[in-house]
Formats: sequence, C-alpha cells, structure tokens
Amino acid sequence: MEGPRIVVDGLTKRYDSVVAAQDVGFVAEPGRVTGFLGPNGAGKTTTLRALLGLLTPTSGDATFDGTSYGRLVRPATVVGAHLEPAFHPGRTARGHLRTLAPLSGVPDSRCDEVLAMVGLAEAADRRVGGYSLGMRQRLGLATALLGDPRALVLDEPANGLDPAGITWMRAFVRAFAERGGTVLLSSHLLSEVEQTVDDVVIIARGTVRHASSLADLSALATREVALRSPDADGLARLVARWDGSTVAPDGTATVRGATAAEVGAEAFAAGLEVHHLAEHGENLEQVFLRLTKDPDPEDRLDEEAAA
Amino acid sequence: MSASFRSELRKALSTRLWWVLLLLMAATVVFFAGVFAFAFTFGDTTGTDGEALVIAPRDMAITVYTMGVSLGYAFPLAFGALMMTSEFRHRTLATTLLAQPSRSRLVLGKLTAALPFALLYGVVSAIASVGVGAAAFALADQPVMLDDPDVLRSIALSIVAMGAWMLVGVGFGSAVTNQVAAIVIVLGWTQLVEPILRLALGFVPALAPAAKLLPGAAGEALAGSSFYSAAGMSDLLPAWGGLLVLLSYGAIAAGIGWLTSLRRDVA
Repeated sequence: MEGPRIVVDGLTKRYDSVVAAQDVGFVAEPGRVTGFLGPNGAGKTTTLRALLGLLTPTSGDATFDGTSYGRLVRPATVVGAHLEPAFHPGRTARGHLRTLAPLSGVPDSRCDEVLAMVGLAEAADRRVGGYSLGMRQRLGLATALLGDPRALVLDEPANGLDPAGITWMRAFVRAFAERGGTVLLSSHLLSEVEQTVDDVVIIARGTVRHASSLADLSALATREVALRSPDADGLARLVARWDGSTVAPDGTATVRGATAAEVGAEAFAAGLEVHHLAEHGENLEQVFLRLTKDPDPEDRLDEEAAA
Repeated sequence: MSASFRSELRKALSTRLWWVLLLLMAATVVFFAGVFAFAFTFGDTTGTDGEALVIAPRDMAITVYTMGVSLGYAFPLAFGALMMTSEFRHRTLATTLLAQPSRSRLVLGKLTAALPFALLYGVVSAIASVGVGAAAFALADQPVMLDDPDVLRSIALSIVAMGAWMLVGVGFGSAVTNQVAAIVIVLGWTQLVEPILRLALGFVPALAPAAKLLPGAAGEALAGSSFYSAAGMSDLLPAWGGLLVLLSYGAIAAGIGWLTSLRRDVA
C-alpha cells in the first residue's frame, strides 16, 4: 500500500471577525503517522474539515497526491476520515455502515469485516444510541476503514477511549502506517500521541507554530541543571555566569542552557562545595506548552487592532 | 446516482421512523374516514350558513375515500422533511458527504429514495380510507360508489397527492434543517394555520381565490375533493393545477435549501 501525500498549503479560514486558520501549511507523508497537535480552539478541526472538503477555505488549498478531496473518485477508497462520533441513535452499527457501503463502492460483506477489525462484531446489531463513547469512537474508525482507504484522517481519535482502547488505537494506526499508509491524526494532548507519531505539526491560535519529526521536537527541549550548596554567596556568584539562572529561596540554583558537566567543572574550579548536581531536560509536554502558549499580551493587542 | 439512491433508501429503512409515521397516518385516516362517513350518513349535516347541506353520494364518497389528502397529509410531509433534517439533527451530514461529496447528488438521492415511500404512504392512506369508508357506507345502506369512474380516479389521484406531499417535505427539510423547527412548522401549518387561513379567506370575497393556492388546498384539488369544499367553504383548482402548485411549493423550498443550508460549511 502506498498512501497519498497530504499537502495543506496556505490554508486560511476567516469567519466574520474570527480567523480560525491563518496560512496553515504542512505535509503528511505516506508510511508515517503525523500528529496534528494544538490546544482546543487552535484550528485543528477547521483545518481537517477544509482538507476533507466539508468547508470552503477563504484561501489556500489541501490535496491528496495533488487532488482535492471533492475531486477524488470514490473518496472513501482513498481517504478514511473520522471527525466526530456522530451517528443516528436509532440505527444499529451494521445498519449505519450499510447506509454508506453503496457510496463507498464496497460490498455489504465489508461492513462485517470492519466491525470485526475494531472489535464491534458482537455489538453490530445493537442500536448506536446505547453505545459508550469508546464504542462510538471504534464505530467511527470502522466507518473510516469501510472503503479500505490508503490514508486515515482522524480528529481526536483517542477521545473517550479507555487506556486499553488507546493502546489498541496506537497499535492500529502504527500498523496502518507501517504498511505504507498515510495517517494524519489530531490531538490536544501531546502525551496521548507521543508514542504513536513520527512527525508533529503544532498549531495554536490558527497558525502553525512548529512542524518537524518528533525527534527534532525533542531536540528543542532546553536543558536545566539544578545544584545546591551550603555557601549561598558562592552559589549566587557561580550561577550568575549563565544568563537566566535563578536561585530559589531553599538554596537550590537552576542554570539554563548548560550541561551538568559544565556546571560541575566550573564549581570545582571555583572551589564551591556542591551537595546536589542534576540535569533536567524540559519534557516534551513542556516544549509543546511553550510552543503553543499565547504570544505576549501586547502582540495580541496589535493583532486585534489589525483585525 | 444509484449509489446515492440505495444509500438513502437504506437510511430510511434502518430506523423505525418510516413505519411509526405510517401507522400513525393509517390510524388518523381510519379515524377521520370513519367519523365523516358516519356523520354524512347518520348525522344532520349543516353548512356554515346553517342550511342543511345536500351532498351527492358521489361527493360524499370522494370526500371520505380521499380523507388522507384532507387530514392525513402531515405524515408524508413530516417523513420527507425528516429524511433531510435528521442528517443535521444527528450530525451525520459530514459522514454522508465524506463518502459522496456532491451535495446535488445527495438531494437527488433523497428525492428518488422518497418515491417508494411516497407510493407506500399514498397506497396505505387510500386503503385505510376506502376500507373504513366503504364499510361505513355499506353499514348505513348507502351506495359504496366504488364502481364510479370519477370516484376511482379521485382515489388514484389521492395516492399521487400523498406522494407529492412527501416530495414537498424533502424540499421543506432542505430549507428548514432544524428538526424541531421543521416538525413544529409542519404541525402548526397543517393543523392550525392553513385551516384558519382557508376559513378566513373564504369570508373575504376579494381574497377567496388565494385560498385555492394554499398548499393543502392544492393537494385536495389534485384528489378532486375536500372536506372544506364539500362543506361549501372553498373552491379548488383543477387537478393538474393542484399538482403543479403543490410541487411548486416543494421546488421553491428545495431551491431555498439549495441556496442556503446545502451551500453552507459543514461544521
């Protein structure tokens, strides 16, 4: 299986006074899982819906191997999408899939296949109104898989899943990408998809803040060294050599942008008695929060004035 | 196109709505056909001017046998509207459009899938009113009139009228996509607003012809009789005119829906 390359280019969606997405651009490569990450209201769903032809962008475009969603022939066989677990409550899971089988161009037997794939075979003839959120998420994924697509676009697929469900979902999308498929999935929690994604696209307030492999994102983590000394004056003098260093009231100093080895060597040279020396990396979640945090209040005022 | 038709047909058949509304319609038609058949045959019938009405057996038969078109048409209308509004109510429109992005095919699929149900509702309405009406006439030793070609023609056209109402419903549902609003408007219009309007317009000679163009009156015109016209309260268009006016309402509503709700972003 060779998944399509998903390209979002210069996508802007403006409502009356709100800019939901501003010049959003990124690529999701086949054979990889791309995480589309950002806080609630960042513009993830707007971008995904524009990518899937459900809303018309103000400008820019989004394509699958160069073809927009609306121009795909039998789109369900190219892209499987799951946006929100919305179903008619009076329909059974099988009944729901059977309404889509003719449009997806697959035989009815495919409905039972995908129900088995997501573990809903037993519940196939129950009305969806009685389903838990986790079961609805599974049925949403089954819907996405109905046309045997080469790409998956999933909006917050882990929402409402229990830990076992999240583990299952991870394994599922990893296997899909390893077979060559393209996976683009959104989440507001980096930790939720950290073990699943190869690439990350971070969006906040409608603009892409960062796009790279997960490894490159980790490299953005700033390092910190914590050290303690009974000699408060000596400690303050030592850490003053690094910009942005602080000394907490309990006598613990934090040095930014240096390794434990560098700080240890300087302390030894200065003859400072050190009781504790440890290096802490900023974790990925902190990098994510730093990249998505709102700009300074002054910048925001400028933006509002411009709008 | 046939894929959209099959998809929409399966949507309609996979929930309980189609037979629940069908049973409610049959019960309503049975009740009113029975009430009117007995009222015509056993009761003293007076018109709005207090004078005794003389209703020919043929008019009586046509009025009773097409009772669905007079008092049961809210059901096919509501079913047609719900075919469209349930996509918005349950937020399934996105899933539908992901499998088949063309919105014009979506509407055509719903209209064509409504046709078999339109026929079904029309036939059941005719069977219910003729069954109860004929039994009541026979019981009262009145002519059953089922060998009269005009009566048979009216019964056949009543099936067409009930079907046309369902198509009007699909159009209406595309214009008013909020399901609660759609149901309230369907019930309010058919049970309250139009009956009052028809009565009120009947009292104003200058406006009386306008009553013929109301959708309910158009539907009755198609079947060739109505409870109101039998009671001497209003005139009707010719049958072809009734069909034309009724379908125009549906087409105008569908046009409004096409230009508004079906153009909108699906969020």
